[in-house]
Amino acid sequence: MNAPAWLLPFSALFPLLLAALPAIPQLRRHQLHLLPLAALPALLAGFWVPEGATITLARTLMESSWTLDTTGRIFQIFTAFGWMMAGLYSISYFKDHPRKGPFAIPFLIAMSGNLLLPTAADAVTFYTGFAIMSFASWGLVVHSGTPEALRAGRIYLALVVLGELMVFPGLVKGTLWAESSTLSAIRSQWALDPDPRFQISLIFFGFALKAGLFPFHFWLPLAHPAAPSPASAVLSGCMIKAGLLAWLRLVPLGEFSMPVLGHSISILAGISMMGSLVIGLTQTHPKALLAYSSLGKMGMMMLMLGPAMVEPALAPASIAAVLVLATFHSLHKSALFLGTGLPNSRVKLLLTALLCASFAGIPLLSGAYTKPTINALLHHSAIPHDLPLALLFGVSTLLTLPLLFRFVILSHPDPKKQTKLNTCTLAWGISITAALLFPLFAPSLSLAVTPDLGYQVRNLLTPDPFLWGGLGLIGLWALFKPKLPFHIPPGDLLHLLPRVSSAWISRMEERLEQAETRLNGAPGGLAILLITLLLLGLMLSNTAFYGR
Amino acid sequence: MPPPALLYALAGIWISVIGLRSVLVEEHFFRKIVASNIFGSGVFLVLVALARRAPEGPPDPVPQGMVLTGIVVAVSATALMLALLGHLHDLEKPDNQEDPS
Amino acid sequence: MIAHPWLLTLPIILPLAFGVLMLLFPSDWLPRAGRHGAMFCAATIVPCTQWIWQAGPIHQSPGGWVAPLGIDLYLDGMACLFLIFSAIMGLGISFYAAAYYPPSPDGSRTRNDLFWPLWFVTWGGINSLFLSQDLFNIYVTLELISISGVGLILIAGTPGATRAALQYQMQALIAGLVYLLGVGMVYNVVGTLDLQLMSDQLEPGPMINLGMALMTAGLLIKAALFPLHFWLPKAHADATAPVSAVLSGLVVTVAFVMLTRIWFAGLHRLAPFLLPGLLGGLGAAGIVWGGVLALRQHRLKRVLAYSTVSQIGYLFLVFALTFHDAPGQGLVWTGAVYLAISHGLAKGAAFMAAGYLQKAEGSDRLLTLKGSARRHPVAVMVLAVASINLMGLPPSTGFIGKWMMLKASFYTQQWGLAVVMLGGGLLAAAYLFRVFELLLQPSGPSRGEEAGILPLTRSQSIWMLAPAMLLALATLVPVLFITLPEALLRIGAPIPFTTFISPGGTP
Repeated sequence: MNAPAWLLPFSALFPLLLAALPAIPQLRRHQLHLLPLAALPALLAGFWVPEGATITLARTLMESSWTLDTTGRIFQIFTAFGWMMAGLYSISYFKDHPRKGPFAIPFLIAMSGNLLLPTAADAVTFYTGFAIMSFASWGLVVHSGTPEALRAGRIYLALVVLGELMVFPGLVKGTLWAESSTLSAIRSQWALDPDPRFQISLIFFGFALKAGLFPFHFWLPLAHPAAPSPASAVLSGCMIKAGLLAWLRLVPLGEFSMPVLGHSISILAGISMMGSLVIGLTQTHPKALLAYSSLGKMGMMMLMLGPAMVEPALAPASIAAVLVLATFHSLHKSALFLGTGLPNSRVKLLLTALLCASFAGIPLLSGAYTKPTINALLHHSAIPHDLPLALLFGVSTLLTLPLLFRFVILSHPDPKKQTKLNTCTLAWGISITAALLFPLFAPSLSLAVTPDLGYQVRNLLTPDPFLWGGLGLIGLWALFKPKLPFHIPPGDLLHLLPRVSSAWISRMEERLEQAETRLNGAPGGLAILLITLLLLGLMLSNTAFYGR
Repeated sequence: MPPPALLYALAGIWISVIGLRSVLVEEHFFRKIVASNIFGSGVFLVLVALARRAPEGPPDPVPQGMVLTGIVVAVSATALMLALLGHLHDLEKPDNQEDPS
Repeated sequence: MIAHPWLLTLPIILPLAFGVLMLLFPSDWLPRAGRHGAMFCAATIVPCTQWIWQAGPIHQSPGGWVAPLGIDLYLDGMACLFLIFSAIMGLGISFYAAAYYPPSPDGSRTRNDLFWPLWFVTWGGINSLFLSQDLFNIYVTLELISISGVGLILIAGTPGATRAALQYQMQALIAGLVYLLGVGMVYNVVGTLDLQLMSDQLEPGPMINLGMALMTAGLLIKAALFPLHFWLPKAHADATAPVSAVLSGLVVTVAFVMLTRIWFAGLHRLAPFLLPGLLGGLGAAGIVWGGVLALRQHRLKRVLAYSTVSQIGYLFLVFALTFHDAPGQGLVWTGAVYLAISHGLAKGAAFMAAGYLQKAEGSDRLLTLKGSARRHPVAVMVLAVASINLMGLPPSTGFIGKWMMLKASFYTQQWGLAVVMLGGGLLAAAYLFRVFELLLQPSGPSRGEEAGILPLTRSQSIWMLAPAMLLALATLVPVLFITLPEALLRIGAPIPFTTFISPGGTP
């Protein structure tokens, strides 16, 4: 059964239509209940639109077009799934938690932007989706209206705008000499550009802000925890992957070698991965800890792309690994974040522990099934020798286990609390199931995962030393319960930034305001005089120049 | 431009500069209004002088038409501003204070 | 095919006639009469557009008086696009105002009744200006617009508005006289007031350059380009909301359009090096100045007014960018037209939403409006859609304009202007999100009821918000049908340009 191609743009349009519901006062109450349906067209499109289906709206700005390829399908499905679960979760969540600011409208608009991305085939449509998503999710971050949320929102916004300021000129520059503005045309024109490094860097780092690459990551551990649980789930599960998708679409992976860019990205990604795992260990807020864990995983994905920029031959293996990891991480992180909004019952603790074990790569669980793909990349013959990739990945495994262990023990079980059956637990349950069954359906999504039980059993017998190391660390911790020697507050680097003191800024603004008040009086008149005289002088001097 | 017209033009420019200066520098609005009228007169004088484009024959009627229109606009604008100023004076009597922001 | 001799006078005469009629109607007729009148006036663009689409640009001399004696009207693609813009704005503003100024309960005349005649006269003046091809006619219509603008500001009736109106009238008078002096000097040399005829015989010389400089200075004051903007924020913020929409949405665009007309009629030939730099530099300074001051305002309408100061700056960058004879001329020019129109629509919608919030909550102070997103979601949505434009984010028309101008600045390698353009977007995001942060906060009870503000009736809210929403959404429409406005703009365009439909295509 094949679905028509118009479902691709429609999957982004539909949430927007639902966002407009409050315009009809009678329907305003029902908006929250319709949230899970909003991502339905996208999910259907992901499953049933045939690959290669294309739709172009000829009269639109840049001939907007959508097309579905393998990468797009994978992103479309896990994104739509994540949003759907978060929408389902919201119904009961907001019945129990009195709503603070408006939630459904920014949620739907951000969803619309995010669902525009996987199938967008031209730069403007892609950028539109990215901007809509980024700006609308600010509404999710500040939803609670607490001072911390507002602060997180401001920092988030500053970084979003900074990202836009890099992406926008990068794209404009990218389309400057391209024949058309499709993403593939931009990708292929890089090779013709005599010096594309500047534009590619703009685009790479502009999108890296969303993915939380060091040193642009500090907004993320502030913003993701500030949002209500369903919003954190989509922020960390779905939206964080948008930057990744942008690189796959726009950066010329596998086309030519970019050693400087590739190496600097690898180094930054390595710092990102290691740093966030270590800082994550010192966190006391479970959502902040999860946010750091997301940073770590995103760092890992970027670390896979870096070598492919140096060595074009690596591109297929590294893209395959990144896709597997992105889907895997999206499913797990959505479920984990959804869990943070539930009462701490024993059932929850048990399931969360299982999920964490899977996430950390304990054999036989779904995380272990991603190992072969990653190993295929790590042991690829073309891996540059100056990048100790295998070691970095090993240490990441070593640290991920204690990190998630700490997450589990941070949520103290409360025997009095019961897990009620409502849409929250329903959405959470479905997400966990999907995360744990990942290896079973991954091949049908054309992900490079083989559900090979034999490999898993062998893996159990000859286990990874880093995994054992991680378990050992947990054991040591459980035995001695050491107090951590330091605590790094969420937002780490932010606290090191020199305080470009707000006092100084407001003083400058005050001066400007005084100047403006003065302009209203006589000096305003003088401004007229000055400009007029300047004009007269300019024009007359021109005559002197040309009149002869 | 024939000499008398040139004289008019220069005088007009001088008058308009005086007027403009006062419009821009004076603080009180009533003085500004008077000054704007002086500025207008200067401008009109220049325009009338410019109307004599050739030494012989009648002057060009178009600039004169412009001056007439300009006078109408200036007179009505002056009347409007004077009325407004009086109105503002009434509004700003002490018992009618606007809130300070 | 011969156009009806009155075709081009229709968009001018009809609003003026309605303006007179509105003086005669009894008070309780006015809202309905205003709405119907607006529909008639807006309908005049249909035959104009149809004509230009089929037969190209058209000159008409009403009453059979041809240039140089008579006053020519000229309709080209740009004029037609701006006429359509003024028709859309006019419809939106009229419908909004009909709900904003309800008739007094006892049928007696109120100050609000003055809105209708003044507004229609302003509309007629604006249309006339877009069609003007005559330097002196430009002066007359500019004065017409200014004087009716002063009356419109006075409707608010507060001392602040009165003072603003005084200042507005004073700068308008001075600007008009400066402009007129320039016209006189130019006429003295070229012997014609017709733009087209003048363009043919424009040679640099002391007198003509002096005249052109004075004309430009007058128009710059009217356009409120930094630092000549000081009269604008008060006037736009202290007026009632429909008036703010007229002034900030429509009127500021007018002086800019006139300047581009004169620019392409020969001004750019007279001073090819320094003038573009001056205009672009002032524009860039205005972007920053207006943006930073918008950050400091405590009232929503003040924020929007300073945002206008900043956005006007964007428009003037066009002069710096076209000055190079680069292939990007058409690109940057179209970009500026899009920016002007999208800013007008968005600012109109934003002021309408602000007026709605002001009525519903009793004040437009940001602290009073805290948390109003839950109470008035649609008004805040209107503000959000308008903000997309002001920030130049996709998928708005403002974004297309910015994209084109940015591209042109890359072509001409004017990196400084590119940086200012991007920085202006940053400032816009900062001052707008500062507002949204307050609007989106968890809400307390509406303060409107405490303060004894009557809640808006259902039909009043719908009729106020629907036009605002439509104006805001209108800024998103060109993205979907971009080929139409572009094809229209090319008809009789003052500069040659090749394709700019696709951002990828080389211009």
